[in-house]
Amino acid sequence: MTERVSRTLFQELAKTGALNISSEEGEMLRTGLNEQLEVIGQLEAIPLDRDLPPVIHGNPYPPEVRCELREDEWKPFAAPAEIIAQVPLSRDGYIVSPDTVSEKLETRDEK
Amino acid sequence: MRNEEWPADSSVSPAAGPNPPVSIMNLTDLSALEQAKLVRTKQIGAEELLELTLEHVEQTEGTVHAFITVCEKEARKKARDVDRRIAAGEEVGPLAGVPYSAKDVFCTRGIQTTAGSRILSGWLPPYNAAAIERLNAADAVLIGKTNCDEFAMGGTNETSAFQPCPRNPHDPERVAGGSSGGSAAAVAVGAGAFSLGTDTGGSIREPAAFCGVVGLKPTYGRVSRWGVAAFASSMDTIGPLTRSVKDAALLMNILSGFDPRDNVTVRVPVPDHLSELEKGVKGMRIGISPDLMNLRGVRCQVSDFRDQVSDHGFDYEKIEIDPEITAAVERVAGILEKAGAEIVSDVPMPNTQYSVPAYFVISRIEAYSNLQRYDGLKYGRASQNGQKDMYEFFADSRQEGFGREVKLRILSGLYLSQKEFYEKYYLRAQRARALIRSDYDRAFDPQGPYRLDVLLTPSTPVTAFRFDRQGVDPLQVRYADQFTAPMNFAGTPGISFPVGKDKNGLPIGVQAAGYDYCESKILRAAYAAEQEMA
Repeated sequence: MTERVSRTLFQELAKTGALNISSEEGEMLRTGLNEQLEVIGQLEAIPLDRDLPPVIHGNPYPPEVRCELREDEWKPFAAPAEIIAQVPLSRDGYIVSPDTVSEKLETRDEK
Repeated sequence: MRNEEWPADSSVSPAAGPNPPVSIMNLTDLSALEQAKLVRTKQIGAEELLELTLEHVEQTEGTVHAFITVCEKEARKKARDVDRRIAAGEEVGPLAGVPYSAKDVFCTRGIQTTAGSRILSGWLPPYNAAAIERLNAADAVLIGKTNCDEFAMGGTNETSAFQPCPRNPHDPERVAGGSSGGSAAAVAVGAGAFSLGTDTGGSIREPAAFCGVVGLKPTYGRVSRWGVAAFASSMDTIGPLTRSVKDAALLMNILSGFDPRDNVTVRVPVPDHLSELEKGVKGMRIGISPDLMNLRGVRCQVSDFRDQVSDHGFDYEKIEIDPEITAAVERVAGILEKAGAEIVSDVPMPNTQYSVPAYFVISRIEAYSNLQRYDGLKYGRASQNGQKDMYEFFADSRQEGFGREVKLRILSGLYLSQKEFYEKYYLRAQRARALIRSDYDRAFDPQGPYRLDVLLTPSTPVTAFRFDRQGVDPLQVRYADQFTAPMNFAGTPGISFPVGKDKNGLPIGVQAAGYDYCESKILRAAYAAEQEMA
């Protein structure tokens, strides 16, 4: 089996995907990922005409049936308190979040 | 006893009404149309029907495990309102008082919606999905939210965070199918007259086949997905699971239509699917494709096939179809031919075999993108690890909230989204989609050589398999959606309907596939077969 995803790449993927995966589970997932990715070899084997264009949907959307884009207008939600009620941590109608960045920023002087 | 029998001394005895008498029967097994008629004609109250259904849910849940949430309080409120309006002589909707369930990916205002995931456990949406709105306007009574694979990612319901997962009502040692497995199981046991499901690669049709009910995946863009947890947006569709083809037709009347909140919905007129049923199949051209009956796949143990040699470096094997299922397709073709349809038995569909690898790439990339919104900050489950910063908070919340299958799909989606793979994999998969679509364009072209109205296929290569996979070829499990996924690529509609049972007493499903916005034709074919086999 080709190992498409090395341990280093796996760590990068997990970080980008915002998943704090333990090393034990990580190894299990990395093995599963490498196995699953074998299927893309089959995709490479499909004979495709160079002229065949990619499509983002199966069925066509002629202008006469498709939905036109809406104006980008702000519309208030009728019951914002119901949304805030579902926030794990809120205060005075606002979402409380952890600090955006905790690491000390490297300044030019510190280099 | 599974269901309440009709109360012989009841004041709502059917004999007292103006309609044809209803014999002693299990009320919760009646179709949605039949239940609606009884309520509308005051032969039974909506509250009474609801209580019978809830009692039935309680009796069956210990074995079937179809539901994540049962919402008795909200259901009783709605049923009471329906009874009050009927008593007052007010107009009610076509599904007035009919109990139903919805897969737990549909947002339901004030009712827990989890998508089968720990990360949404306890979440109470502040709004209803468009499909729930439509059913509410039709006066149907939502009784609960059914279990499913986590974010609809799976074909057995085993990936749900809520265990035990649904069991097949015909044999609890076997899977109900997925990802709309709880919906199919609930409908099969009479826990509601119908259910709402979603289908991205076969998630309505496969469990419908496994549980012996009707499941319809509409044309992409026919039914609004607004308010439904997204999995792979270019293939996600919404449809009904029912106990009769007529009910599926009625549900398509109610659910179909343009919705500016889902910008893939279309302004295409919706016919009256119920009256269309009466047209029958005389003159219709029904296709069977040898390509679809001789599909090949790569064996699951991927590490084994690298040393094997074939044209493209893979050793493809024929995916065996259970001979009883093949016979069922032929039987349905025979019934339709006898009813006046013309059978076209040589329809080429050579490119549908590419749907599994193309599905893998597109669905992972779209799933990764859709799942980025779940972070524990705005709604759902938050990690309590005392993180230093927002990134750690997100990473801990997602790690704790997502199951293993979802994490795998996020990671594979990320891998395939890398800049250097965009053309190699993603664009290639989108071009393969065009190729798969061309099979359907050719087969259904009214000026082409085949001019099909309907294409008949098995719904699945096997009937419901055991949880321990004993007695089933892993290749058949891996390619269980081989007959259904191509239509999610093509955007075309399909319906799975039950056509009897195999030697083990397990339901067999046959699929009728159609062309864009031709749900009425596949419903007509399924209805004709259902009538003959009843």
